[in-house]
Amino acid sequence: MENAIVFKFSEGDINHLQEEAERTSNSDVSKSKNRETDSNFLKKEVEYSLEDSKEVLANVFSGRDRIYDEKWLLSENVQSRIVSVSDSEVTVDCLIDISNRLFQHRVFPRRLFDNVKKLDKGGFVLIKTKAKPGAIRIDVYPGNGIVNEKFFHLKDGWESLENEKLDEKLTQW
Amino acid sequence: MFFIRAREELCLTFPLIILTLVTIRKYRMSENSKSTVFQFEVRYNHILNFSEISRRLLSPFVKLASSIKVDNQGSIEERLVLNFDEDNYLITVSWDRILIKVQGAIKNFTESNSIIQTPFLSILDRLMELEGFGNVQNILLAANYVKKFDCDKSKLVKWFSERALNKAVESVFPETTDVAVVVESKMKESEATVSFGPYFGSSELLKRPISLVSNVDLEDFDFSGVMLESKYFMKVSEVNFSTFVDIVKVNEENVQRVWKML
Repeated sequence: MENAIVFKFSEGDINHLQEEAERTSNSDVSKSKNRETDSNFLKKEVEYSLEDSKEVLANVFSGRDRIYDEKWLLSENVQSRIVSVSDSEVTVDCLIDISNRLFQHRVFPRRLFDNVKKLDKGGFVLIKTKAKPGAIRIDVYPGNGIVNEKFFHLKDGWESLENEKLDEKLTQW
Repeated sequence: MFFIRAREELCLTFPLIILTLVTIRKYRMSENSKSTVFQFEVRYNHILNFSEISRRLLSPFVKLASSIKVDNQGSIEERLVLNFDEDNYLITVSWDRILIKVQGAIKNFTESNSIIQTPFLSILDRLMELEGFGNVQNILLAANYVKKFDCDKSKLVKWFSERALNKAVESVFPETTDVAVVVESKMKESEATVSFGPYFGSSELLKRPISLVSNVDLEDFDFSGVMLESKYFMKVSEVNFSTFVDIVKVNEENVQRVWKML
């Protein structure tokens, strides 16, 4: 089907997709450019103004350890709230189904959370799990700004029972 | 496909026609198609101050990404690209749209807690909370599929032409080297397009409008068969995970109709 298909879409779709294609194919080139400029700090100062984020962003990701080309069959990003923290483990409420507000209580080793600075009860974390036969990988990220706190406010109509005296002691039995 | 299956069943009853079956099997398509890469876009009213708020808005998500790129920096059309190399996807956010491009089987991402929900829709939720955010205008799903077809590459075009084109089209050139069919459906609120034709191997995937995110899985697609590109565009006023699941379902139905026809 090489060069044979012609899309006739409106709204500038194709130009947009083509741009994406070019950007993806050029991404390795831009990475190597960044590496070249890292070696010459003085030159860097001349080339980029303080407002330019290119070098700053390149350094943000430089220290991360990653294994590329590893194929995982299942990947989940689970928004979670910390329920309790002990010396050895952290218990969290994992929102396993956002649409239906289904939670699961899960316990993880404390060490997994060492990168979370504020490990307090009620705090939010994002738990990323990836699995394949015989292996699982868990990454924990601080959830501020990522986790939608509203998902964890479960009133679900209970407020309509307010002042219905359901919480009063039964005295007439 | 029905014809092929019918002949197979017949063969079990009447072993004498095994020779016929062998001939048919030679041109048989594999049962499962593979979606190689897909792109899901949500378009909204232009956010005029996007460049002023974009970094603050996206900064929490940077820790999930493996790299970030800023295009048209400081301009009204500033665009941020978050690359998630390890998971083979990227998210682009700009003043008029947010898109996610993912390499892998599209069905896997209709499960709860997939990357469509977090971080893609989480970022959209944060955008929608902005004071300057207008309305969601429309969504677009574009996906590439390939299906293996056990046939000599030199006979692929001829086989496809016989199935999908009439003889008049086949005879335009004495020797046809490539063909494709484009089918469009434009309704009031939606548009669908499927384009399909012979597929000669993984190198073709690198030339399509929806390019691959990485070349990691390229060898998995190094076979010949049929390639299909589908698009589904829909006007909507709100987007959530169910919207994505629904559009994938409609898209899959369109794709399955093409595979059935072949």
